[in-house]
Amino acid sequence: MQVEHPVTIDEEHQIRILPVQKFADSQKLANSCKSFVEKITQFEEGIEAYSSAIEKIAQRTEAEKLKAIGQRNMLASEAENRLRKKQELEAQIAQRQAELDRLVAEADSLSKVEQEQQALIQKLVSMEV
Amino acid sequence: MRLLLVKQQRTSQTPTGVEWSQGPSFYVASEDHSISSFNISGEPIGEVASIPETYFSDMHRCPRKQPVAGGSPGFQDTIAVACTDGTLLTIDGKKVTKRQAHRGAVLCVRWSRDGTQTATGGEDGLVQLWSRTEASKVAQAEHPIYALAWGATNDQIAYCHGPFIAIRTLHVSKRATWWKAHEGTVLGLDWGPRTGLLLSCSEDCTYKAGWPCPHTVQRASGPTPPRPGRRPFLASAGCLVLCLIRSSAVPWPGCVCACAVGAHAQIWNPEGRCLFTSRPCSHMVTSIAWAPSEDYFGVGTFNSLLICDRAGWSHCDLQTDAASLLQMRWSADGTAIAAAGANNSVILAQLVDRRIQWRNIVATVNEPTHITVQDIVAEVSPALSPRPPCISPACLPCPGLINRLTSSSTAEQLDFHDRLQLVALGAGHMVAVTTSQLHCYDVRSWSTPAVADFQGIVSLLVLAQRHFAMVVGGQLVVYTYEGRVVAQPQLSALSGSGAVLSRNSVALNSRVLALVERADGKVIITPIWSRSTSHLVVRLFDLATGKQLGQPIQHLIGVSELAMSQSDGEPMLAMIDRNRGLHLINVRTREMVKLASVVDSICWHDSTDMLAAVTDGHMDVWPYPYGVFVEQGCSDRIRYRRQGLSFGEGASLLSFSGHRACVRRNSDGVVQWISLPPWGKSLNDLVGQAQWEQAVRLCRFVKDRTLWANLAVMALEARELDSAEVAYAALDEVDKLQFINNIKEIREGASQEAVTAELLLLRRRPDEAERVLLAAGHIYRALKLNIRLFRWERRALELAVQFKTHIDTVLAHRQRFLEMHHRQENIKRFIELAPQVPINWDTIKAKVAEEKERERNGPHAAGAASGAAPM
Repeated sequence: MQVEHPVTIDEEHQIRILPVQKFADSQKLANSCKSFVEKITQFEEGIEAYSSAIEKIAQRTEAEKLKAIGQRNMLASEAENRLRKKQELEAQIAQRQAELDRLVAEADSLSKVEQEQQALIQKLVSMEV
Repeated sequence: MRLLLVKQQRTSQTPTGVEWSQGPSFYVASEDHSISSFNISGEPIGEVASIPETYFSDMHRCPRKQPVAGGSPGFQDTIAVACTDGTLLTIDGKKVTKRQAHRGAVLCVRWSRDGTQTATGGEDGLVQLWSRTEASKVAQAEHPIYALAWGATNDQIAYCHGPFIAIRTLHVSKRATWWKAHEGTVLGLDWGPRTGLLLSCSEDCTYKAGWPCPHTVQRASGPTPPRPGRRPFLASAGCLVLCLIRSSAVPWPGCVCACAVGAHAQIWNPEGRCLFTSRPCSHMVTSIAWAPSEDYFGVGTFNSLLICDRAGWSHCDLQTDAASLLQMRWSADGTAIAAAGANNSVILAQLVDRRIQWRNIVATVNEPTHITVQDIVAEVSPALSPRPPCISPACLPCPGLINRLTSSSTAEQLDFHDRLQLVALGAGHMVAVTTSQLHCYDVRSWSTPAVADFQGIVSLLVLAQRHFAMVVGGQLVVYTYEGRVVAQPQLSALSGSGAVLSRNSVALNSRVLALVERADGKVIITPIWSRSTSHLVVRLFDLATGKQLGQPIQHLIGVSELAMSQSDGEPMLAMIDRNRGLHLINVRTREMVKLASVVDSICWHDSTDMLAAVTDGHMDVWPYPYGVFVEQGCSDRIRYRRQGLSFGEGASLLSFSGHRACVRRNSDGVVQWISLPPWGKSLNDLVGQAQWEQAVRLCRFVKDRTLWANLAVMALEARELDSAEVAYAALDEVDKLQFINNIKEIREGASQEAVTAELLLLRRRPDEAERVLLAAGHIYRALKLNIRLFRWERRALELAVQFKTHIDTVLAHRQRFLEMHHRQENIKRFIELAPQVPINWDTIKAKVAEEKERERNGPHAAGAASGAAPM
């Protein structure tokens, strides 16, 4: 097939394969493309910064959430924990109380023995006199 | 007493079993397929075995090799290990034997007490018995067998299945006796060989209180209507076991744990009678074990470990964070506990601050190697104790020293090289046994103990005036306080395991040792297994020679407590049988007299021969118990009784010294002191010094019938007729008074033997009196004695004919007797002899006068015969 416009010479006396008009258009297009790519890249950067910031916030939120859950659990178990602690302490109190009761009873019996012996001594002394 | 947590060692996997080795170390079986060894500080030493293909559920050491204190830590034990894949492993050194035992997991394994066979219980509900070569099925239950325990004699196995406990007697074609023990599944079981008490723990969540039931095992042909509050449980072979479980909200006083609703522990005696039920704990009780001495037991639940007395009330507890204690074992000397916590930890706890008291001396084992001894009297009256000369801070460099000097100037601090196994205080001495040495202290000088070397684990110490008895590794040894061995009595084959000897089955004084053991060395098979303890005898040993003293004393009803008189007088043995009857035995003559019934506990006075007993709500004291051998049936008259004391059932008499007795209530462990009148001891002291006039004055002063009765029997025993006369006069016993006056008249003109014979008559021993008279040659007196007792034909005439003298005297007295009572002669011999012998009262009187004259002038005969008199 025959080429419509073969090689042309433009106004600046340079040899052109493309017609002058087309060349100017394509050059224009290339420029606008370039600016578009630049804009897109800029946009991408902006998005990236934004998403990383969001990510950071999300992480923090997530951590806080976990902490909250943990604390909520701790709160929930605290009641039980305290109950257990209380039971433990109550058991110990009962234990000590039982021991105290034993000792008090022993002391009572000993003081009774002392009383009886005093009474006996009194009796003996009064008899002697 | 206190439990001290020595170490809580974290492990990588859950420990499932613990077991002590022969020496001072223990093994732990863990979920990481290994068995590792831990030392006495609770730190891991190393792995002893690793079996990668299975998991362990339980292990038990063979008791055959006697434990050696302070032995080398190397692995020298034979251990049976139960595995979850149904195999039973026996690890003997490096050798591992593997046997397929059950379908499903093997849950528990126990060696018999003689170490010849093992019993296993599995998930399939089977109880199997394994000897070295063969296996046999013991029982099949519906539920998994979580725990089993051997009886004292290796012929009974107790096992639990579901809420039931069953006991199976081996070698008898009888089915197991079983009863419902808990509301939930029973998780642990232990059977004490000494006390025969069964412990059980369960996962149930009910609130129960158990009461002793008077008739627990009844032979019944038909069903008995259940009484209110009781629930009958049908046992096998027509035996009805009434098990009393009351589902009421009555709190049992000494509870195992004071928490809200939960699981609880129980004590059983082997008749299926519940003696104690704990209050429910907050969590299920997962392990339970008797201490080797069986004075206490350990209870393991979630996060806590309790030490309870034999009666059930708790001594102390230990709170941990080890979660449920899956298994717990006592060390052989009973001072430490190793436990496996479900929270990946191994716990080692030590019993510290054990306190023992004798009179005013208190010894406290503060640490495993340290004892503090205090004199309470010196402490409360510091003026009596020597004060340290100068306590200005300038001249004492160490503040701790000041502290010690000012706070406890009277306390003695005793340090030991090795761990203490057992400490006993009593009879003026303290004996401290460490793992390698024996330290004997006199309470008057703590600085110079007698020290002796020995080997073995000591399970019992009984102290007396001059000696003490010690059970070392199954052997009973009697030592002096200088550390010298006096006697080493040979125990018969069965009690040769010595482990069944307890404080209640050994008694000794300065001369005699008594112990309870079975009649024959064989295992006794009885139809009702609970009665198998009845074939017991009491053997006596002379401590001077170490030989057995005469024949053993047989007692058909089992003996539950023995006590030996402590003074140097006539040795007497007091014994409580299983029916709670108190018997007094004269060791020399083997005479046995029943003193009382429904007796809980007895104790001899520590310096005189007084005996005290706690009976049904009373405190009884016999100031002179020997009196029951002197005068028959006087045991109630010579007894001082103090009433209105509420000790409850099973109280134990801890001590009786001076004028005080010390009793511990069974229900809550309260120690009560009872003051007793001092007259008994004073009377004993005065009579011991033969101050009869003073003794009579004392009785006149006190004006107490019991004391007079005691003086009367004492005077009779000592042939002190004047004092006896006064005593019987004070007691208004005219007959005896007359008799004694009569004896006094005889004493004027007759021989010694005549008096002896009359005294024997007063003691109601006519045969002995006759023997004394015949031995002394007083034929006429012997005849007269029988005539006075109306023993006409059998003795009076028999003797007269035998010695061919005084036949007419006998006939004459008989005739007079018949005339007085307007009766006809009906004795054949008298009818036969009457016509042959002429009766003339004058000749008879002349003959009697001649006899009396001869007796008065014949000291020769009296002297020769006195040796033969049994007085």
